[in-house]
Amino acid sequence: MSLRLDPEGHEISSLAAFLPRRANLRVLEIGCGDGRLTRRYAHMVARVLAIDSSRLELDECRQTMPADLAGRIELRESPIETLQIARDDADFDVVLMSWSL
Amino acid sequence: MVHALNRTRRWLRPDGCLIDLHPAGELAHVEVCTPGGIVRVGEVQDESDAKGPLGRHHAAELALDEAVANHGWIREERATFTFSSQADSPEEIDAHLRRKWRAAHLDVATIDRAHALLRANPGAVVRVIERVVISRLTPRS
Repeated sequence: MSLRLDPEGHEISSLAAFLPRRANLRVLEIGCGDGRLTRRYAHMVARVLAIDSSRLELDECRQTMPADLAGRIELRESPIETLQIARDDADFDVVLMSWSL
Repeated sequence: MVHALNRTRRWLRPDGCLIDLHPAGELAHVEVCTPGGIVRVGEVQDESDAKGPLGRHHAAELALDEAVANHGWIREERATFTFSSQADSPEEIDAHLRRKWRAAHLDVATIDRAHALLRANPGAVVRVIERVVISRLTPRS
């Protein structure tokens, strides 16, 4: 049998409890890695911009992303220090830093 | 770290929030879940950097405290939870740690203790347990 990460769902239930209670949430995820967490919460929000500085991790994220989530997740290779977001797009409801501080 | 955290403000709506997750200040440990109970068999050997896992936790907490004290953030909520990574063998856990954590692994003694318990308890599973802190911060208006 393969590895099972957080089978009890503690991480996703904790995150769900901390998300704002409003519709059509836009999330900026800093340090998404291979998208392990992104895949788990993306169905709860409207849009995700997920960034990571590692091309390898982002490639794995793309390869394992379910097709039904791909439309709402944009992946971008960038460290936070140089991330550029157009002013019109810079209105996220949530910035998520997962193991990236 | 504080600089990175503060940089995120420019991308948030005025009523938006920052959610941070990072490991809590205790070493991740390894345990085997048997029908008779849970047996702790060792700790994850984490040699990622000079700070070590506890130092990284401390640095993350300091960054959040600094953001609140001097950079206009309010820490609205904080909680902890347990994150487990389960497998049927310690080698699967070890491979995962080596691939996905920065420079972590299981030592031989931990692997041997886990194997002994798994052999004696069919259906048992081995898992890594981490404590994680989740925080929600909002920009002070």
